[in-house]
Amino acid sequence: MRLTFILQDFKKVGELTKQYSNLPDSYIKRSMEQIIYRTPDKPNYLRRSVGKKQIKFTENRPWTIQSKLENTLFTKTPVIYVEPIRDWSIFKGDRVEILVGRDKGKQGIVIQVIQERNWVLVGNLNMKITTMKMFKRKPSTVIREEQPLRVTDQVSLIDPSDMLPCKIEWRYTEEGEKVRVSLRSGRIIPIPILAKETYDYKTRTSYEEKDKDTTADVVSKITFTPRLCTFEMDLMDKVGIKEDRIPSPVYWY
Amino acid sequence: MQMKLYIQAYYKFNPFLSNCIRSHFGPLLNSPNFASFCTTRERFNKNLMEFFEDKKNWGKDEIRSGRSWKTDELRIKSNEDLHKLWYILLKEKNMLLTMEHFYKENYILFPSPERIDKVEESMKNLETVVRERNKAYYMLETGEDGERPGVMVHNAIGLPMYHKQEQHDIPKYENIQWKKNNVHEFDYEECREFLKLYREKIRKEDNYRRKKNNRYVKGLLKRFKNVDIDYLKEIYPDVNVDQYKNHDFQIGHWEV
Amino acid sequence: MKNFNKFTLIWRGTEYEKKKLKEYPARLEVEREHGVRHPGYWAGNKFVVIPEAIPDIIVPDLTNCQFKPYVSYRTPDISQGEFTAEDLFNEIYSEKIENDFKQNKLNAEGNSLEPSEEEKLTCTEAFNNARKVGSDLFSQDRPYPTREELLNLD
Repeated sequence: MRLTFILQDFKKVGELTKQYSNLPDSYIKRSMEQIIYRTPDKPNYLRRSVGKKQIKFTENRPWTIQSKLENTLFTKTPVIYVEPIRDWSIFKGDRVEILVGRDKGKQGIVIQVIQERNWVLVGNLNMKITTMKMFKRKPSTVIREEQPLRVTDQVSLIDPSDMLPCKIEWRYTEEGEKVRVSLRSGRIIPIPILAKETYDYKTRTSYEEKDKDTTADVVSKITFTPRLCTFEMDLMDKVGIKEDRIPSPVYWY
Repeated sequence: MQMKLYIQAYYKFNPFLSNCIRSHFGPLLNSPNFASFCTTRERFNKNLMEFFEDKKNWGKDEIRSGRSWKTDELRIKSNEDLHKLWYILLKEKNMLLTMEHFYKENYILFPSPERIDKVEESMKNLETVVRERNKAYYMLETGEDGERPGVMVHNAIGLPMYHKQEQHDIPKYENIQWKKNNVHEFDYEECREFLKLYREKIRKEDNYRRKKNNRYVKGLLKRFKNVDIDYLKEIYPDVNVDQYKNHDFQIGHWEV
Repeated sequence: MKNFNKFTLIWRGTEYEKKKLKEYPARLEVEREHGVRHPGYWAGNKFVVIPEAIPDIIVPDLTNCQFKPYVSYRTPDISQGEFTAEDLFNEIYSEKIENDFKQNKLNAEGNSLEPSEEEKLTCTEAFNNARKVGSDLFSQDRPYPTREELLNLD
């Protein structure tokens, strides 16, 4: 039973967050769980574990320390209702108009996308003013933070021909690419460059290679020629070991 | 924001590592009888230092690295290249694990622990590629996998388990010791009560999950106006979405 | 109570026990399924070593190797399908069979009249060639039974 609950939470992590973070799946799973005790992997034990498995997704990414502070062992996670969306249509760097709140009617650029809650943070719009006390005996600092907006109701994409809000459909071009098309005018809305940004690089070609990275030409070189032998036989031939002994027949049970 | 300052102070590196290494290698290097070892000493130290990280990375908060190897990229490489890659990955893994152990002992946060997962992922992919190639040879020449066979078998209690088979000299009917240690039959009448209750427990869990999904779908339909109902049916195939859609209770507080 | 036979504490026991331990050391370690295994078997209290079971690890020469543990993000996307037995067959046997068919060198059954070395290989020969290496065998990953298997008990 509890195994499936662990997988449920990891399945809820959106694909865009995984793409942005460049982290392997096992690390995300490992850092999301807070498990105190796990039964040993032996036949007389059932697979059970003690700890917190369901986490609440917030603006902080699930593998960071801040989300761990919000999801301690003793906090209860309330049930959060998130609408399932088949094709995600709003990306980072898109131009977007706000439909509710104080900044109704204003247009802005998307800074961050949080797919697990269907949220979007728009730059310098829909801000909330709070105070925070940093040092003793000194006045507290005033902070303005963007508040998240829901993708389905409260925000809509803009048609570049009119600069007015519109509805979208995903269609295929003649070449076979999947593309966003506005229903009013029929114009294609291209995916912005910032959407392909990740934590490690802004664009793929501008990535700085580190000491322990193999270069592209070495990786894409083909050196495999198939031969009628297994992996170990091939290595034995290349190293020069010769074996003539055949293992005796054996019963398997 | 306050937590960030606290964490930064916690991260600070104290020059423990350099002292640690000097204490291990200092006496060796400074002893008078070491002159005869002169030519191999440098190579010895250099090889051992591969267990630790590059000196310029000592004390950093974050160490950037590339991504792991994918199966498609490994399939185009020859067997010798794969053999070399495995040992390069193994050395990297050993280095990361020694550093993790060191940081744990001194209560410092280990910088970028996802590197271990990246290396493990590429090693896993390498193993699948090697197994594919072996399997292709065995399936062509003999009709079977060349791997260790396994069988789904029932416990003495009556539960199914996966039994990995072992090699033996003598056939099964002669092997008395094996039969005592591995019981793969169960008496139905003795285990009947237990199996009944066990299956009841599994069905209870299924019911709980189904009811939880029902409640979630009801809540979604109540709170959101335009939900993609076809997609909901795909995600929750066990839930009867049409029944809940038009129910009076599910109509939310907005103008229709 | 002097039943020290079944306890694995070396320092407890009578003088007779301690003398016996020196000749026949006790089986202190548990047999494991993974990790480093003992190369042999226990015959009563003594451990018999089998030289073929001692692992012989072959490490390649890593000088001038351009591979590194990670891959840079600049590499273009590569896609390569799974390597199956069909692909192996197409690589090794298909050409010769085609040529033989065109030159009418095939039997009534379909075997060639001038078989190459690879075509002469029998089942058992190929199997033995592969097992001569003496390496460890891979095992399939299926440790925990699924929910349906737990419910359907035959």
